[in-house]
Amino acid sequence: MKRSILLLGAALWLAACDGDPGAMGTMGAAGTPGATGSAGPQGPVGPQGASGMAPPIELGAFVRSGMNEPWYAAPRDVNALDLISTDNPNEFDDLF
Amino acid sequence: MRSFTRSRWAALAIGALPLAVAVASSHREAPFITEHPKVDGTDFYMFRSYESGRSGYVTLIANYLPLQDAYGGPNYFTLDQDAVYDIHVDNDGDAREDMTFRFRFKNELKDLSLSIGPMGSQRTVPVPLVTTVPGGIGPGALDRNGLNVIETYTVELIRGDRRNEGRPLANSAGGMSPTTFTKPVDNVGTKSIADYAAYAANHVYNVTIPGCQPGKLFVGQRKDPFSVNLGEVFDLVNTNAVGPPNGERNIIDDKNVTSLILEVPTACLTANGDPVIGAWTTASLPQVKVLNPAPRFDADHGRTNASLEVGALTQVSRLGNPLVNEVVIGLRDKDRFNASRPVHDPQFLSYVTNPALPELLEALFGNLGVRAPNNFPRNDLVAVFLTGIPGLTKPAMLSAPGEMLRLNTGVATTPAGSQSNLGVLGGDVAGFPNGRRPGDDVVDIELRAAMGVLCTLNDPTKFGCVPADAPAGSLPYTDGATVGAGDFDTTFPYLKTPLGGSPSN
Repeated sequence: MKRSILLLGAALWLAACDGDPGAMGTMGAAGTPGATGSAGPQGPVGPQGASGMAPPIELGAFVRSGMNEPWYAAPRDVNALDLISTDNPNEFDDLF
Repeated sequence: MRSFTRSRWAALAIGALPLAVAVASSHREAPFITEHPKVDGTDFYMFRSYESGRSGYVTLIANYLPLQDAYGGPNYFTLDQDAVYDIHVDNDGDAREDMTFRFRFKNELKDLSLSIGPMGSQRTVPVPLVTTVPGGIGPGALDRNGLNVIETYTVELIRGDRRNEGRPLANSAGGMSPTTFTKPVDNVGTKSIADYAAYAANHVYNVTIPGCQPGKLFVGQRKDPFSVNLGEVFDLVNTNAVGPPNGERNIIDDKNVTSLILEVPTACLTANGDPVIGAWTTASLPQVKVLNPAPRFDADHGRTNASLEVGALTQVSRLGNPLVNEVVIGLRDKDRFNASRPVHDPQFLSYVTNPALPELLEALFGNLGVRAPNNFPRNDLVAVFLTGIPGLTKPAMLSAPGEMLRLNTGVATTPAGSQSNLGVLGGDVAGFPNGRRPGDDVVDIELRAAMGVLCTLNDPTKFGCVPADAPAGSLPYTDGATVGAGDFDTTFPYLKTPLGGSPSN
């Protein structure tokens, strides 16, 4: 009796898990960084698909893309992002 | 509507052999959130209002910003104006929000200044304090002479996915800006605010709620309602393991917290004829933050530009049932839990079906007869935390489990004077885990649940276990720090006036 209840509970649980999404695909290639000086806008996020390291994304471009994101957009998964930046403390003066 | 009897649940009430173990509900519980106290959710309450004449309402309380010392000036404890603070409600059992009450804050620095120096060569110098005029604040909400920082907020009701657009709640009294509410400044002290209780009470708003009948709203500092013997617990339960349930000190009894409190008509929250609802609170921040090496005051916005926060809102705090992220989820996954949604909780399943806490308690107190339950998977805990208890808090149409606080709004309220602080375990089915009231001693209740008290009921169809599975399930585990309905007000907003920063003796 007890075992059957436990098995039922486990079965219900597994059934309930059906809606759980699988792991996210690797983010697509990032856009081309802007020219030297103030960074250019980040390119659009590529389609979800094949794995592999995405090319580095310049931090300024990442921040500027964030400024253009509406608050109701889904946040970006940064696990696969390689953010690069200069050590220039004035890099974002134009934003402040 | 399903019916319930007190006698049936009163069978859960158990004896009086105490044993101490406990934790803080959700104060600084995850590594990342310790870096962001303003968005650190500490406790979440949901109960059918037991104020006289208000039984047709549900009160929702989300507490944030833990361990506030009342003297914490000059900035005190404003909330994060770049964040959103949400209270989500699932009313159809799919572990997804159907309604979200969203709070956003704005902290305006008035930049009050004084003219300093001899006549003819004076300089205007900004003052360094948040209050500047003795007795200048209160008791009216607009009595704020000399208040240097004014904190306001808006509340939206979002239906469906939380990323949908919402509609604002509005002050029933109208006014120039009916959708903008004022949060009282924290309890600085009696020289600045002579009667803080009256001042705060004047920030309780009657509000219109889109698509619903009117409700009530309050946001402000309160005395932290949680009770716990915190320090000794985290020192490997370094306390009297067989002491009385009220024999230890509530170590956060001298702390304040910031509360977001709504009272909403029950009919606004329920759906499809099911009286059961689930709810939880979250806080989210913009995804990107850049620090400014040269901050300046921005008079147009009443704030300094010390940082830039941009991007999509990213959830960093989550709280439904008390203590879950604190003692159920492993240290490595606590940040992940805070960023997660109930519908994705199967990823944390092992923490519930095979919990570590009972084994730790057995290791610490085995000499006192403590034994961890041996029923695996722990379907009794699955019922408490993930699906709701059959016949009480389980949704009629449950289609997905998810960790959230669940309330059966069809259960009659218990007057404050008759409440048991053990809730359902004490025979009071209007209490935790059927929702959570301020006076419910959730530490003791959850400890007993973790150690298998539900198995002692010998109701395997509900809980999937029998008394033999929990050899020490009848022990009345306690942290020794007690709390009860008598510690709180019996009217909205229920939580007590915050401790004042001065005088200090």
